[in-house]
Amino acid sequence: MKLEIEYWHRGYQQILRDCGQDGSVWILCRPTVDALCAARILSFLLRADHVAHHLQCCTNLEEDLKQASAVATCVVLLHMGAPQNLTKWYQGRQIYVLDPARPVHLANIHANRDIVVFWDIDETEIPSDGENLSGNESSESEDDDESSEEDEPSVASSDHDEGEFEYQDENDENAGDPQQHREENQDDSDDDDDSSVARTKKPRREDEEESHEQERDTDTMEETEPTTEPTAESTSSLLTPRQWQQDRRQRIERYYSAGSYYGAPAAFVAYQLATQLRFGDHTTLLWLACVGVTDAYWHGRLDLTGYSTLALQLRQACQKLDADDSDDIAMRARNTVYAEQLSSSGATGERTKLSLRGTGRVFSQPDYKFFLLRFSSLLDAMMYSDTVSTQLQLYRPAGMNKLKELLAKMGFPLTECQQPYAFMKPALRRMLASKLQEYAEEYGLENLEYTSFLRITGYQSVLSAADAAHAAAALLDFGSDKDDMFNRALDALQSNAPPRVMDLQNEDNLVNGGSLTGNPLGYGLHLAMKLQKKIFAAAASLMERNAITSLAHFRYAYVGDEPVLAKPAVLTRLAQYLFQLHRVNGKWVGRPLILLAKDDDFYTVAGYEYTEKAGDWVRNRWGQHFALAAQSMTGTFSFGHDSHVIRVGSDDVQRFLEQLHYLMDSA
Amino acid sequence: MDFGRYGRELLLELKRSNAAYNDTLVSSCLQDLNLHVCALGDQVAAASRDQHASTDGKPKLSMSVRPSILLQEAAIHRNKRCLLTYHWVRLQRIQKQYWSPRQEENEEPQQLGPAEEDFLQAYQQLHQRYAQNTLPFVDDLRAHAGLPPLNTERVLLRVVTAPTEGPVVLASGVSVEFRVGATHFLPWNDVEEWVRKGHLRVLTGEEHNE
Repeated sequence: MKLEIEYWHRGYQQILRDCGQDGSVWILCRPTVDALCAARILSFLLRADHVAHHLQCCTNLEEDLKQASAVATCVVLLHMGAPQNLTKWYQGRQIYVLDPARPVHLANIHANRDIVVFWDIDETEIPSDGENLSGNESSESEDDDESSEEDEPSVASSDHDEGEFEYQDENDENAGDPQQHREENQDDSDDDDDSSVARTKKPRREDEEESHEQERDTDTMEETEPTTEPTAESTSSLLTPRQWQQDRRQRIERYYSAGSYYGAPAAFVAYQLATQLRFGDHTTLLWLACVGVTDAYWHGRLDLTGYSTLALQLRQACQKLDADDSDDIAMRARNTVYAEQLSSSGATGERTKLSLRGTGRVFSQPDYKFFLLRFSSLLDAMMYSDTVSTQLQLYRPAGMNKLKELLAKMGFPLTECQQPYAFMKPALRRMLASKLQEYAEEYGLENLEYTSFLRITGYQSVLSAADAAHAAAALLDFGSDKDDMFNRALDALQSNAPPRVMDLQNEDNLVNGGSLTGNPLGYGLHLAMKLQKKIFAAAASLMERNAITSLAHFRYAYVGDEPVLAKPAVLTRLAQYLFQLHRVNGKWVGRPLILLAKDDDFYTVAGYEYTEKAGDWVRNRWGQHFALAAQSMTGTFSFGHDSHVIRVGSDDVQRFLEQLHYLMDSA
Repeated sequence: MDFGRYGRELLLELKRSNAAYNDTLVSSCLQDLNLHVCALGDQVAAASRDQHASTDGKPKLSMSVRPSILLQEAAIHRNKRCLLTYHWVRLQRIQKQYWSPRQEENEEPQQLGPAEEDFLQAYQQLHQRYAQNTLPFVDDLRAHAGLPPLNTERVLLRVVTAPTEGPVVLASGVSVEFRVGATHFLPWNDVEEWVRKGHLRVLTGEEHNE
C-alpha cells in the first residue's frame, strides 16, 4: 500500500506497535549517501523510542530480505525496493519502503498492509489491483480468460512487457549453464512466481475492487482514497470484459513504459517523518536531510525545480530552528558577546568581544558551485567545478588561460589562488563575490550560485552539505570492502569533528602523527577530490581519443579500467559532465549516451537521456531497452537497483550493444 | 633569544617518545619567552620616545621598528602555544593512563615526572570521591568507562567480529544475526559480555552531539 505524506507518522507508529517489547526492526540500506542519511535519521527515531534495530548495507536484496525476515519483526528498505516486486520475497514480515525510485511496482502498491511504500508524489494514473501487476501478460492468455470474471492469474508467456524484465524459467538460474540467462539480482520474477504469490491471496473480482479499497481503512493506519482511474472505473460498465482487460493492460503498459524517474530523496522523507513526530527541533536531523537532498541533486536524481522546492522547505526549517540565519553578518554578530557584559562590571570604553562556538547550527545561504572550495584552493575549486570547467572548456589549454585571465582581471594573484582558500588573504575572500558578479558574465559563467546549506562545525568553521555529500559518496565509491566503506561513510556523516584544511593538502599532520583514520570526513574529502580528478581525466581522455562513438539512436563510450569508474554513481557524474561539456560547445544535440566501464569479468553499462539544459530531468527509458535487448539474446546479465544500469558479461557486451541498436532501429 | 626554537623542540619530543617531563626544556622555553617579552618592552619603550604624531592626532610608532615588534610578538605567541600544547598533550596521556591502564602491545609506557605522579594520584582520588558520593554501587568508575551505567539501557553497537553464527535469540527476547560491519541497537544486558571481549564496539549517536 502507499502511505501518503500526511499519514507517514502512522506508518512509524505501526512499526512501534509491531515491535512491542521483544521485536526488532531490520534496516536494509543501499550504499548511497541519501540512504545513509535516512538510515541515521531513522535510527535516531528508533533509539529515542527504545526500539531494537539493526542496520546493514544491502548487497543482494533477495538474500538480505530472507536473512532479515528470519530475525526481525519488520524490515525497512532505504533507497531500494520500490520498483521491484517485493511480494515474491515476502516472508511474513512487514516491509516499509522509503525509496525515491519510480515507478513503484504495482504489486507493492496493492499489497495491503504487508508492504508499505512511503508515498510523496500525487500519481493519478495508477492502474487498479488485479492480475498481471508486472505488466507482462500476453494478449493470448487474456483472450482465453475473457469470459470469466473470476480470473485466475495467468500462466507465464513468452512475451515480456517493455517495462519489465522477467525470467520465464527460474530453473535456468540453477542450471549453471553460461549460455542461459542468468540474473544475479532479479528485479522481477517470472509470472509463475507472481501467480504463486497471488494464489495465496484470493483473486478479487472486478466489481469487488472498489468496495474492498473503501473498506481498507483500519484504526491504526489509513490509506488514501484510491486514485486509480475514476473515469475508467466509471465507464467500465460500458466496456466488455475483454475491452476492459485490454484497456487495463494498456494502462499498465503506459505506467511502466513511461520511463523511470525519482521522487523526494529518502533522507527528506525520513526528516519529514521526524517532524511529524516530536523530533522537528533537532538540527542534526535537519542537517542529514540537507545532505541527502544535496546528494540527490549532485547525482542527477533531482532536477533544478525539485531541488529548489525541497531546498525552500529545508530553508524554512532552518529559519524556524534559528531565526537569525538569513543574514551572514547577523549570524556572526549573534555569535558574539562582550566580556564586560558577563562580568557585570559596567566598564565603559572599549569592550572585549568574545566569539561563541555555535557548533551544530545549520543555516542556508547562496554558495558557489565550486568543488570543495573551503578545503582546497580557489584555483582548484574552480578547475574541478563542473560548471566552470564545462563553460570555460578547461580540458583545453585555451580554457585554462581563460580561467587565469579571469582571476587576473578580478585582481586575484595566481599565488594567492593556489593557496588553500582558508589561508587566502581575508581581503581577497571578501572581494570574491563582487568580483565574480562583475567579471564572470564576460566569460560566459552563469548560474555560479545555488542555495546551499552550511553547518558550523567549530569556531568559525563551516561545512557545506555539498562537501559532506561528496566526501561520503567518495568513501562509498572507493574501496573494495563494501561494509568497511559503508561504515566509514556512515561515521563521516555523524562526525562533528571539523575536517581540517590540511586534510586535503597534506596527509601528514604533526600533532596526530600522520593518520587520517581518526577523521573519516577529512579522509572522505581527500577521496572526493581524487575522484573528481579521475572523472575529469576520464572525460578528457574520451574526447582526446575521439572515443565516443555516435550511432543512429545513441552514443556510447568505453570508459576505462579504473574500478572506481565502474560504479553507477560515478558513471552518472561522468555522463552529466560529458553532456554539459558538449551542450556548451554545441556538438551534441538530442542523442542519449551509454557508458561502459569494465568491472572484473563484467561491464557496467549505464544509459542516460539527453536534456536540453543542465539541471533538467527526462524520464529514463533505458531500463526497458536494456531488458528487451538482454531478453532477446543469450548472455550473462545482471540488473541492480537502478533500472538504467545493467551488468553484462565481458564476452557479451559488444553483441549487447549491437542488439540494442538493432532493436531500437526496428522499433 | 631563539624565536621559538625551544618550543619546537618540546613538540618534537612529544612526537618522538614517551619520555618523562622535560623540566629543563620547559624552563629554557619559559626563559626564552621572558627574554622576548623584555626585548619587546624595551623596543616599545624606545620607539615611544621617537614616535611622531599621525594625521589623526594619535601617536604612532615609526615604520622602521614595526617589523621587529611584530617578530617579537610572534615569537612570544609561538612559545606560549608550544608550552600549552606540550602540557595539554601530557595531561591527556596522564588521564588516558588512568582510564586505560592496560597497555597495548608494542606501546611504550608513559614515563611521568614527580609533579605528574602527584597529579595522577590527585586525579584518582577525585574520581574515587565522586564515585563514593554519587554512585555507591560502583567500586571503580573505570570498570564502567565509556559504558552506560544502567544495565537496562540499549546501546548502539557495531560488529567487529561476529560473536555467534546464525540467528540467536538474546535473553531479552530480541532475535539478531551478527554480521561483521552491521550496526545494532540492543539491550546492554544482552551484549555486555561481547562488548568487553571486543566482538562488539559501542558507538555514539546523534543524541550525544546535541
